[in-house]
Amino acid sequence: MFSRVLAILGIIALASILVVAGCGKKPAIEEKIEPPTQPETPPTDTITEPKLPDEGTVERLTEDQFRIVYFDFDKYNLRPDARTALEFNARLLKKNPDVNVLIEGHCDERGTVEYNLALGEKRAKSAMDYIKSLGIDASRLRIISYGKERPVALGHDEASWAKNRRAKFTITSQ
Amino acid sequence: MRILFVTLTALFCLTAQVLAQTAADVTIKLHRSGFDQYRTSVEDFKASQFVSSPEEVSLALEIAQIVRNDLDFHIAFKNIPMDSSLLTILELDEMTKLAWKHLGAEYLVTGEYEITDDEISVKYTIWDLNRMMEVMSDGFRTARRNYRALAHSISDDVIRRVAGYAPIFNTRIVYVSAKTGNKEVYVCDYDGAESYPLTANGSINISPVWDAEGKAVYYTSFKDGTPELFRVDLSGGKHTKVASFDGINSSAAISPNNDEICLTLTKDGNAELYLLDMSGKIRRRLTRTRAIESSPSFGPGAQVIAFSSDRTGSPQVYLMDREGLNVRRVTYEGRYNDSPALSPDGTKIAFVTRTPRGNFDICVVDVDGENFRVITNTGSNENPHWAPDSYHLVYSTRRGNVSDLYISDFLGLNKRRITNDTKSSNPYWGPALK
Repeated sequence: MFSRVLAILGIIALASILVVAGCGKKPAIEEKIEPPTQPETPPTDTITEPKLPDEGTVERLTEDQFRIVYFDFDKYNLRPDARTALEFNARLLKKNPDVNVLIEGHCDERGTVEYNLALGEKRAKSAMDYIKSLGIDASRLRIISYGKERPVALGHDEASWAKNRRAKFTITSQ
Repeated sequence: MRILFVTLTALFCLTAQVLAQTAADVTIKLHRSGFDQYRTSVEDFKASQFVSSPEEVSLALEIAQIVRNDLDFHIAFKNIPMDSSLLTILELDEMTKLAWKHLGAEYLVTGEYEITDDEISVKYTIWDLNRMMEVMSDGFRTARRNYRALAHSISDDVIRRVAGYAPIFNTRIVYVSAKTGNKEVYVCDYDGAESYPLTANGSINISPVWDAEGKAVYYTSFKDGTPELFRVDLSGGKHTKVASFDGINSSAAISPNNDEICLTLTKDGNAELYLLDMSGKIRRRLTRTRAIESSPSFGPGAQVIAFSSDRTGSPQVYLMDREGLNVRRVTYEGRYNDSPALSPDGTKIAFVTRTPRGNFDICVVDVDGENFRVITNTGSNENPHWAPDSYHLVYSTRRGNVSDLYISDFLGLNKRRITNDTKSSNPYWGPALK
């Protein structure tokens, strides 16, 4: 009886992870799983571990499953789409309690290096504060600002700028 | 210095393009009415030996040309070039003082050089052509590789002895270039020559500033992961970590007495300005708002600090005293005014303004808010910083993907590009070496 409940729970967990993975921009399958960590003959003691489901290896969380949070020019307040993205990211973090993240704040190229460095940190902090308010423990979250130093789009128009004004989640440990 | 007064309100009401044009018109008048331009010629230096190698001749020609370029850049000087057709008309074999005067020069620099394998020496004379008398005569001897510094020393003597201006030509500029693919700190002469890297760590290095003696450079680097403040000594090239508080350690300014650092720190949750001693220990917190305070700049004697704050919702320029008190707003026009730089004499503030068409221009205004001028009119311009004489500036201009450094007088009349690697930014003009 008990084992059946466990099995059902396992299926539900696996299914929800697959759903979550499906929502991400890239399928999780693309992430390379380090096979060399497993010796040719698996030691028996790992099999006796309680973590029987293979979610830890197959469904390892990847950075690009986190949604990127975008901002308006010279602003660090969260737009509705930013909140939606952060709520998604918070769900990912809840499902992966061992994952810690670094939230990077970025800016577009307009304005000075110095001001943008501070603005980028405010963006990262806005994102972090909202994630915390959704129940994620502060100890799992760190922030850094790269100001305007690491653009993803290199054009000098609003289309590029909009892509660069962002808060990006990167995994620091899992 | 007599400066024509400009009605500010008239300027502010105009559209961006007209504004730029008007500023140019106005500054030309300012220039003519405000600055006596000393019309100066520099004759090619003559060899004091009987025989000079072609290489030595071209070196001597280059030295004279550096002096011409220096003087022509200076706000109060104008180089009067040689006109060889005059020689034909006057039936002369070579220029005479009268011939130079005929070309319109008021002052003339002549010289004799002597070059050995290791050394170069130039004896030079400055002549007043109106009075037809010698102003001064002196000489410099230096290692041959330092010929540019020798030329700049002659130029400094000319501006000092003819017109009483402070020396600026033997100064250097620190800046950031991404020419290797990473933002690294470089140093070059004021005219862009003799550039070499100060950092090569492959990380992100930004906001370099000189100390007050021109012996060390402070910069913010991500090389250990987060933006921290470092110092590099020019002699020896040793890098030392100065400030590594949680969050951002950036936007450093060094006091004119070389005994304090004003720094933006975010360790208390938000970008605030702090005064630190030179070892990086906090002496005092200067600002306390929910806004971003950044880009501090010391006035003379460190009695006043200019900075930017977005406490009204967008960045504006403010002044405060060194206790963080007596805060007063300087800029009211425009939604976005940032990156203030107080001139070393404390009379003017240069800053960046975002124009209605969305570009960024360099502006100069007197500390009392008078004499507002826009000195750039193309591209996106950033990080103005003053030369030690308070008459000249360096800043960066980006047009499309090309970003380079420019130097200019504070009226924006005489601009020169000093880098051409297309990836330079974040300049800071160093002090005159004592």
